[in-house]
Amino acid sequence: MLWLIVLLALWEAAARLGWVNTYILPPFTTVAARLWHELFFGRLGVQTLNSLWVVLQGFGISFALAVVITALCAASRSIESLFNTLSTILNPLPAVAIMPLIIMWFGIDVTAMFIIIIHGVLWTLIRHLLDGLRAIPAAQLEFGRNIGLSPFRMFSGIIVFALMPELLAGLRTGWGRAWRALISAEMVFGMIGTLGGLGYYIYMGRAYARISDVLAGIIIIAVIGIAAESFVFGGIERATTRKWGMTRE
Amino acid sequence: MSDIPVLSVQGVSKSFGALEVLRDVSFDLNANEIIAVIGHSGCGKTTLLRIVCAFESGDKGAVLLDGARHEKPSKEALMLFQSFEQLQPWRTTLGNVVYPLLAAGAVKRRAEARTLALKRLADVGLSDFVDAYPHTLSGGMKQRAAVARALALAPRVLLMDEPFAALDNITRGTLQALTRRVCGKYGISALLVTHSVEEALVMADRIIVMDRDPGRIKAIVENPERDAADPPRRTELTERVMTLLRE
Repeated sequence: MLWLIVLLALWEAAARLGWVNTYILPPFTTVAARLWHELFFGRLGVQTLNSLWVVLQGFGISFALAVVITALCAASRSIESLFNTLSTILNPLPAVAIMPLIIMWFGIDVTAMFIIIIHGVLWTLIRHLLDGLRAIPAAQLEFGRNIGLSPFRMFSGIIVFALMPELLAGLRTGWGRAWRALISAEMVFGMIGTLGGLGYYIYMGRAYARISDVLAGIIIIAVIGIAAESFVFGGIERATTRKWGMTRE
Repeated sequence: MSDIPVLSVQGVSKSFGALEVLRDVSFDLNANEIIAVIGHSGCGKTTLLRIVCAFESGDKGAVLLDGARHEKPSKEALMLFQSFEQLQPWRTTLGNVVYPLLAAGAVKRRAEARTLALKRLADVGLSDFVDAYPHTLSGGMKQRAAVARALALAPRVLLMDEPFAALDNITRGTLQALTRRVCGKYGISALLVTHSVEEALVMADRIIVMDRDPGRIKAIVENPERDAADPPRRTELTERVMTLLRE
């Protein structure tokens, strides 16, 4: 937090004291005022909610798919081998690289957005879950077998908890990648729906050379990222894996 | 009932592909008895324990628990592992004992499971650590908690795969004595796999010395002086087992 204040003060000073051209970097307070206005009196608030809603849905679908595919991989070596091949080919492909193909196949609508987000999240999340499954100590699984736990109890009483460190790591990485994918898609696709999302807002800011708008959009994304880390992922981690000694301080 | 051994291993053989690991292993484990299985690495003693636990099946022979075939893992033949990671890190020490009691259906009500768990944790000297998470416990305390968990589940046979091998000498000695005492207290028979002749002599009533390539029983040595602090006798038995192992 202290570093954040220092960096913002430096930004303000750099612009106010003429160290940088204010056309390239307006003072932080100017951007903050613009952000406030756009958020509550302009379209930015709705556009932020639009983006959040799309990313949450895409993330949710990715999570559900990852759970199913991980379970299939755990059940069959052939399916895991297929996943490994697909993952090796597709995971390194940036979302932007596959966008033309997605546009041609699915057109420009929210389905295409979901596909881009799922592509960003799915491979890495499954990889984390599979690594997590392999890392469960054999003694914990064998103890469950030894006392005759049903597959459901084995999953709900042991596997889910034992997977938590890798699940959290996968969700964290996936969340970042979902946002990257979404913002790229919104910039390429333009306005989807009546107002579009944050990526479209930033894109239009650049198109009209309104640097304060571009920076305001970026700040919103950063604030959402910080909030997700502090209150969601960090909160879950403090209440679970850190408390249990499964994640180091 | 008294004539039927708690555990009867009858002519068990096992191969992994072309590798013959166990050949025609037979012995009985009686009520309130502890048997140690000792032998060089690769003599099949861990495989034998896993077959008794029904984690693996033998190619030939049978394992009988109280006279009935034991072919599916159950809490009646319960394994105590060497790994410090056998406890569930997301549960407290108490939770680690309560959860399996309820999940395995050994006890129906949570309050009853809690009372039983607290008693067994007291047996192993962990009353002051019931709310601690495993990562805050020492290796010896983790193994004590695992012993308490096993006791609470009241198995017919406790199967121990070098459970104290990763502990320092003093802690190991304390846990050997503790495990022997609580097994006696609750009438639990035990099968202990170990590399250590000393551990076998301190804990077991009888010692099975295994040969290898393939693993088979070379000799079964009685240890009537287990509880006697009789150094000359202990030395004699140690020599006898060591000679058998060297042959």
